Amino acid sequence: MVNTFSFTKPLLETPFHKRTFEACYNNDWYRWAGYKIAREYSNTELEYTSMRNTAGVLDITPMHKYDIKGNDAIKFVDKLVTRDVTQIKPNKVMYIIWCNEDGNVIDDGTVFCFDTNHLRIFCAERNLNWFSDTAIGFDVEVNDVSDSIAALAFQGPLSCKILHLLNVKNIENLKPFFFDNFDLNGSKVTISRTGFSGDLGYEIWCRPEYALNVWDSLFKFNRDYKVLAAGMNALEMVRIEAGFIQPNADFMSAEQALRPNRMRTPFELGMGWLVDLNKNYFTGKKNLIDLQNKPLNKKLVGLDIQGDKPAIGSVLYDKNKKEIGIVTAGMWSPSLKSNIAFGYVDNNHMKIGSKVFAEIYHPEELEYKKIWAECLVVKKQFFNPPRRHKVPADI
Amino acid sequence: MPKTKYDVAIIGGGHNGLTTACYLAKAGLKVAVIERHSYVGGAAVSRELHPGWTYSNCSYVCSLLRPEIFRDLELSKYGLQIIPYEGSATMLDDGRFYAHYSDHDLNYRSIAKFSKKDAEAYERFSKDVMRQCKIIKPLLKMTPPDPTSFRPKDIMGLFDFAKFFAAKDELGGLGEKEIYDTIRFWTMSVRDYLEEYFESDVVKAHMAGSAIIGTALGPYSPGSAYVLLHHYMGEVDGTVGAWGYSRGGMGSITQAMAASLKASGGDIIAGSPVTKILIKNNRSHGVVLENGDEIFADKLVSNLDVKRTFLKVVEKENIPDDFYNAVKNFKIRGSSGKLNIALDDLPIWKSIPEGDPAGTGDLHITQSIEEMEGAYDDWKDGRWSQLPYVDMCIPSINDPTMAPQGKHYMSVFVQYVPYNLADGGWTEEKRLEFGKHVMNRIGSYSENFNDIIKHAEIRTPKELEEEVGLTEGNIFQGELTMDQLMFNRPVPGYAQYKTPIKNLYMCGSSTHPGGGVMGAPGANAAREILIDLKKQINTHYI
Amino acid sequence: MRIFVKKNNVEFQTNKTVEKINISNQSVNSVLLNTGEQIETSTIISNSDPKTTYLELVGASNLDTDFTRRTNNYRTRGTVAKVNIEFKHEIKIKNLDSKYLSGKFVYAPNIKYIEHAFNTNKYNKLSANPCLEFYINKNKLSANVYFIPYLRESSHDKEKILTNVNLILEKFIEENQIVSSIIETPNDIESKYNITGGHWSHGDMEIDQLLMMRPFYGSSQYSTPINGLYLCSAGTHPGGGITGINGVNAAKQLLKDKGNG
Repeated sequence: MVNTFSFTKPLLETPFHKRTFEACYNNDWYRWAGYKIAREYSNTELEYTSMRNTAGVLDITPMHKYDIKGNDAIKFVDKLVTRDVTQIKPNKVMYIIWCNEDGNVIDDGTVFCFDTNHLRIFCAERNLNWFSDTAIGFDVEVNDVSDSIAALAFQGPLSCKILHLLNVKNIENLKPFFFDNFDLNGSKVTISRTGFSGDLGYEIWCRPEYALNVWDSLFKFNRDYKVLAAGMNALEMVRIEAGFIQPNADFMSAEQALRPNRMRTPFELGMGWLVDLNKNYFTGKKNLIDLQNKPLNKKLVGLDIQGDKPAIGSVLYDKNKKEIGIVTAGMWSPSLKSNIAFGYVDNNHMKIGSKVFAEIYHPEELEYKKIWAECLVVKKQFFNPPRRHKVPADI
Repeated sequence: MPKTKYDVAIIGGGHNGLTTACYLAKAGLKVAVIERHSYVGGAAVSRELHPGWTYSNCSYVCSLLRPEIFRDLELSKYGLQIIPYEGSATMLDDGRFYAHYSDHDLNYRSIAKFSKKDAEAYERFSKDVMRQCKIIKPLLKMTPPDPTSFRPKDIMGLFDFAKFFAAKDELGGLGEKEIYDTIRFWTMSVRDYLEEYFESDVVKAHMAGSAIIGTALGPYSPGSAYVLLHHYMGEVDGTVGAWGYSRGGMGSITQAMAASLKASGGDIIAGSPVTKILIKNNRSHGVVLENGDEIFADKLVSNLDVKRTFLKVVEKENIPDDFYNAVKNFKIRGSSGKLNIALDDLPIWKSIPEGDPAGTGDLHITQSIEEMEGAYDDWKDGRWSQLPYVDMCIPSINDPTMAPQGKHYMSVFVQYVPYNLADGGWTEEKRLEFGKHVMNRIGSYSENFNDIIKHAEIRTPKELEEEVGLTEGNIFQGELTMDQLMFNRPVPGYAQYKTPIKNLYMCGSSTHPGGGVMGAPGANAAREILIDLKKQINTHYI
Repeated sequence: MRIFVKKNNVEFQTNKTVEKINISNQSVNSVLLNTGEQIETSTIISNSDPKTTYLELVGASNLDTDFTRRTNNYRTRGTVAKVNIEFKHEIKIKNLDSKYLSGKFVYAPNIKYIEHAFNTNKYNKLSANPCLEFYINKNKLSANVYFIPYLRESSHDKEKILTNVNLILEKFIEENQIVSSIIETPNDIESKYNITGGHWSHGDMEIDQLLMMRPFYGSSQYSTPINGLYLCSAGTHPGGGITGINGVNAAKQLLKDKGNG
């Protein structure tokens, strides 16, 4: 990547920039980890629809990538994260979260196992300091390899079919949360069956010099199967439908929160299923053991909201109009034809089926309409079609 | 001159004295500020010392001035404008430079040039420092609790103090761990503190600069981390830690305050220093000026530092011995020099390219914290630093009023310079030699600096003392060390702006929360006086 | 102390090194010795310095990352070297009555001198003019030399240190032929006694490493994050010096936790 430092260019360009720049008619850029990423290429609705109907291509190069190499690679990750990763095998991917000593979540991500001495962690926030400090006392080397790997998410019901048409061998048999090396139209790539969309989809990793070929290949069958480049706005929609939460959006990373009371435990985020308190020691275990049976003050839940006005930024109340929480992300879901959101509720309203109320300020021609909407507490995973899990995948 | 009787007279027209005066005048009191110079401002002045050039010849940048004071005194109406500036840089001998930008991503990459780990650690560092700033912010406006009912016998006292305020703070939920962090921050050396975050020498040196400005501590001295905080806790329009220029020089701040004071009906009596405070039965009732005038006032407020007030102006027989001794032991050591330079052109730096916004902010010359500590070793031995830490800025890049078109004004702050030289004290010759020494160091980082100097004002702590009146030329009116902060500033038992003499108050930077063009000591003092007078005032600050 | 302890039926095992503290479920269960033996126990009091205890004996895998971060940041760089010199003749100090020889001698002419001796230490360099604190026993002299830095990346010029010390001693000692001299720098003290940084007090005695902050947050009051593990070394409050207070307080804390304090 030609990304020399210049004060006139505060943002980096990814190896796909030539293409994303051409495709981004709106010239609407978002800052993601110091990179320029399209917020909206031309029409968010259509970009979203491509991921639910055909396939969408997202430039996810800014994801942070850390190589973990050494004899203690697995031991190190096991100390880092809340899940037991000691049984991880080559080509396996695991979804992981990690906490600080208080049991507050720092970030989430995925770990890829190349072999027992080499793992790679992908995550949204910068974690070099945390990983390096965690590595004290382990025979392991942590390296930030973010800049040397270009990455695309290729998500949607036709994603497997298109890869198959591109002669990516045996791609349909790649199981969810596995990865392998493939040849994609002459470029060596690593493909994992992972993604943010909650649908059938893949993430494609390659050296920067293959980036443009990989990008172009994915659009090769566009006449028959309309693949679109999708921006961050569309990604936000699919990730909410899929029930994926995001650090510094739905909760403050424990390493970054200025106000200690903004930090959240996995239990509060509804991620208790990722916490294994019977495994070896990991950072935060002691406090999480103490916390596991204590009642939660607040919990992030899914909300199914009356009406069709998104509840972004709304305050949540109980039936007596007492404030009990806030909405962290919300949208009208085109796939579900529902008004959905994530929000924090208090201890009395955590159970699925509880009723709370959102006060929604909806802008209508320079005036705000105040809507008092009933919300049903539901699972955060709103959208989860069978094709997402099917093996072999649809070609 | 007829004898005039005031409700309150303020001795010294610095920014704190003026602030006190303004609030009292706003409360309807008859107020006068007595200033020995023909102009007010103290160490916040703009002076034309070379025709066509305006020098902020003492303080030179602004961040700490409390916005509530700005608002209450309507300083905008009286011409004050604060101009934020972009970036800062540290220049290295090897031709590289470390630049700090306000753009988050650019700044990350700038640090990453030296260390990726440091670039990331900077986020954690900023967050931790910001948290400390938020903890300290409510303290600035407070009158410290009386130590006789809140004796800080040991560090546990501080612990309770911090806990007391943390509970009230908007941060909410500060736990035991955060209180520990606070105590550590207030007691550690800046070197030790920064080493917990950073690995690169230049990154550490760049950050450490704020911790030694104006102080007679080295970066290895315990307590220096607090000084860093003192320089970070200001703001420009809500951007905590940002610094700006006062348009027209720092004098614009005090000129606006003076105009605000006059508009509220206050008087300024300039041109003759106070030589004596009239005290009868341990009560002050007026002052005598050098020109023989007597001014009477029910209450007096001294904006002079505590040493000057009680060792020079108030006669010893009026002060209890223990107070006198405590004042004598108050640490107020001069450690800084200042050069104000009129330039024919913009300096061209060997390292920073033209147009780089980093070059328009403050520029430092230092290679490492170790070098800064070495500079401090020189000071301890009574020499000016062989490799001085230099903090330069060129306000005229951002402020068009400071120099003629195409010309520039440069402010150079130098650390360290002793108040007394070990080899026989300051002479005119040595002062010039010191100036040359600093200019040579700057010159070695520039292509043209030596050729574009038109005029230079060279100030050692001596000049600062003589002109502004700051004892030993200490810019903070007393060291910002733990033993001289909060309820210990300036003297335990007298941290509430009062003195052993009835009706005599203090409002200068010798009082809590200390130095910098902040105005908080002045406003806090005004509040105490109004409480004593049972007067109410409805402002944002008080 | 030893006799008293023995009388109270405490068993000594000497010439053995603890290699590891074995931990399960965040509780102590045994120690592993260099001999391969394991001693089962539910309670351990470590007189090792905090860094050694946590990073070597307990191991980072049993500790939170925030905790290892703090352990790593704990400052333990020694500043004092120990020198033992044997002279050919019984030591006599010029112009000093021999009845005073049993006392402590200090060589630190003035505060400025001490400050200068410390200046070089700050930059990891040797001072040509160190400060000395020494005791005399017939023809033997035992000195503490201030300030000799703990070096991470280089090694000491021990001959140079001894020369500097001798240059000072020569001024005071009559008939100063030396038979032998031994020096232990902070680096030697580290390797010989297993004290991180060779620091006499098991860590700098600065405010941020004192009182409830000693050695650091999460490890004060003699307790540790590991159940059954306590600290009693100079790395705990009130720090270094032969006071024994650390040990008494650690015992008190332990008894309190066991419910019979």
